[in-house]
Amino acid sequence: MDAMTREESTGKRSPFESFGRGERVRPSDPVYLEILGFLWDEAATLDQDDLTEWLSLLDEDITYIMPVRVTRKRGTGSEFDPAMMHFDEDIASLRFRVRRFLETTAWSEDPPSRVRRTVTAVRVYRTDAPHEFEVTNSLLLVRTQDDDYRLDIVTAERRDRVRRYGDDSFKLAQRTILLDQATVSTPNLAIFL
Amino acid sequence: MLDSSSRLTGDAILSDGTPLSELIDRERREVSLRVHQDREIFELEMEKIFARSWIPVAHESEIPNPGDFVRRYIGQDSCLVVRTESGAINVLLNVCTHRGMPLCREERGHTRTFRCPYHGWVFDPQGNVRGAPYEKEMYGDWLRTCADELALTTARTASIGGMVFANWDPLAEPFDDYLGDVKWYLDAMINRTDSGLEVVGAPQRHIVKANWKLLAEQLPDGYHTSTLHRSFAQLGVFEHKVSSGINVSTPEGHTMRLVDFKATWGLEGRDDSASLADRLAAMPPPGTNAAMTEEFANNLTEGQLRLLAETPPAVMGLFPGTDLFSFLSHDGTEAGGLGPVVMVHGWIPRAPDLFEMLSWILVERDAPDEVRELTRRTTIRNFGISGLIEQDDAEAWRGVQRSTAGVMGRRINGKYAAALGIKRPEGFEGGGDVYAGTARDDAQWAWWSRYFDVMTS
Ligand code: FES
Ligand SMILES: [Fe+2]
Repeated sequence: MDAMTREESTGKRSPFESFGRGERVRPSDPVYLEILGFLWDEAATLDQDDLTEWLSLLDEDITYIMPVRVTRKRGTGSEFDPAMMHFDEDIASLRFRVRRFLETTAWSEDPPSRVRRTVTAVRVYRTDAPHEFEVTNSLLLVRTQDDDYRLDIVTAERRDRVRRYGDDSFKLAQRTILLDQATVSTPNLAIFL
Repeated sequence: MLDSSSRLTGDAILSDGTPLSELIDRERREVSLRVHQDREIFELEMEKIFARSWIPVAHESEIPNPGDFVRRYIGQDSCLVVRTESGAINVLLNVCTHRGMPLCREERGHTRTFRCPYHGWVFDPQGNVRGAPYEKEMYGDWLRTCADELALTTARTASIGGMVFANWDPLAEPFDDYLGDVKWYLDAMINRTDSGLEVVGAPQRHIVKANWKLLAEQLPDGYHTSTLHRSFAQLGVFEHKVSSGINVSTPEGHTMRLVDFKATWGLEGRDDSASLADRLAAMPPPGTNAAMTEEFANNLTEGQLRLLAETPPAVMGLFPGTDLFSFLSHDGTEAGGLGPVVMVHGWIPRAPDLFEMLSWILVERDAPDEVRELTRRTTIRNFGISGLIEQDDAEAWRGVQRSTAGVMGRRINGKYAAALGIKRPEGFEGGGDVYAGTARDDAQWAWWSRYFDVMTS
């Protein structure tokens, strides 16, 4: 079965189709600044290891995926695998992950990693839904564990769908994490990006 | 002529004067943890193990058409896994025989020939040099007359269940001999249906900060599960009792943990007196459904069917560089059902304290979409880089690696004293050294014995 039929059979939409095609929200627009604030708050919530609060920033229908990347020659197609993922999550599975960290003996994150997320190059686009925005941004994630002096660095483009509730509240409705590395240089993804 | 083959044989004397063979105490069943730290030992492993063993490189379904290729590694060596015109699969060293440039830097593609980016020599998927720029002016007919010498280094290949294995050593034992008694179990695990398995996609790849042996030797370790993976018992997903299941090892260093399905996951409603076919249909092995179990009898013996119905292989380690999981775990849904996990790992030792892990997910070609999808998602959520089970393993391996880095730490011996021996359940048909119970140290000891045999021979 080739990649296309596999994609259809899993029913998963490609993270690449028609993202960010809508009208650009300029950085001077208050909406842009509000979304920027939301992304910073979200990153800070994770940096502070407040996983319960982080879950509250996610919408019920969230899809959270990180496709595997494979190095390819220029012009021979997408480097991202349409079906093979490092993460393939929805709200229930993300809650289950958090529950394991907070309620059980989950050695991988106890003591917890210390992680710093820097979110830059934020670009916001309108969509057909007036309260939803597509947001591309760059993530620089630096992770350190216990007193190990080595730093793990993970960089990615994130393609987020952000949904507005009321005047100043947002939730994350979709996140696609497009890694730069084909070989991920951290021993596990017991952290969120 | 320069001989590129290794002449390393026999025991090695490490630079501090210690013979390698003294790092194992066969009487006390202990191994010096120095084996995870020493650069010299690492280099020897690359020569004596990874350049001479059967290593998994790809699944056939990754390269379905002639000309398709993926680039992988065997030890530190980059290689190309290519589907040829005839449909056969070749594994070629990705090093140009002219002056050593990699022919390919992409990891996947489709081509009729490989053209070296440096001076332009061209090789076919069989590894033969087919031409070069200015060939006549530069070389006359040398490329033709010395074709054998100029061909790319080619590995031997073999496959089972579509997984392709490669071995650089022309004198290595045939693949079936290498598998020995585990072939029977492995066929039951991955060759059960008429159409067989295929990959979901390219493997995950990630770096683990530990020596590769910490993973490889751990595969039959049923003892760690109740502590390191305690969270799964706390969450009520499954609980391994050391007294249930079966632990298997073979002299080749292959190991297995077979689980008692019913006891492990508390699955009720299975009537042990029902026919094998009914029992399999009532509890289909990971990745299949009830209807598919009807095909099993076309491909497996009665004994293998019984194995799948009662104590299916959950974790299998093939010496030195393969492991396979076939398992049930939490599917990540709100309801918290059990979903299938089907994963194959390979690994690339990068340094004494670092290895790269490859994780393929396999799904049944003919399974309904919902079974394939549940297998894909459940596997991602439990195993591999983000997997809730393997997250904790990666932490244990990193821990041992760091704590034995010190002068004193590396003098500690790893202990395998739980010698419980062989206890074959009545009527059990599988080969190898079989023990009724998941936890004993004998299988890990079989792994270490094999390791030292290979390293000192
Ligand atoms: S190194 Fe490949 S052609 Fe020269
Ligand atoms: Fe484990």
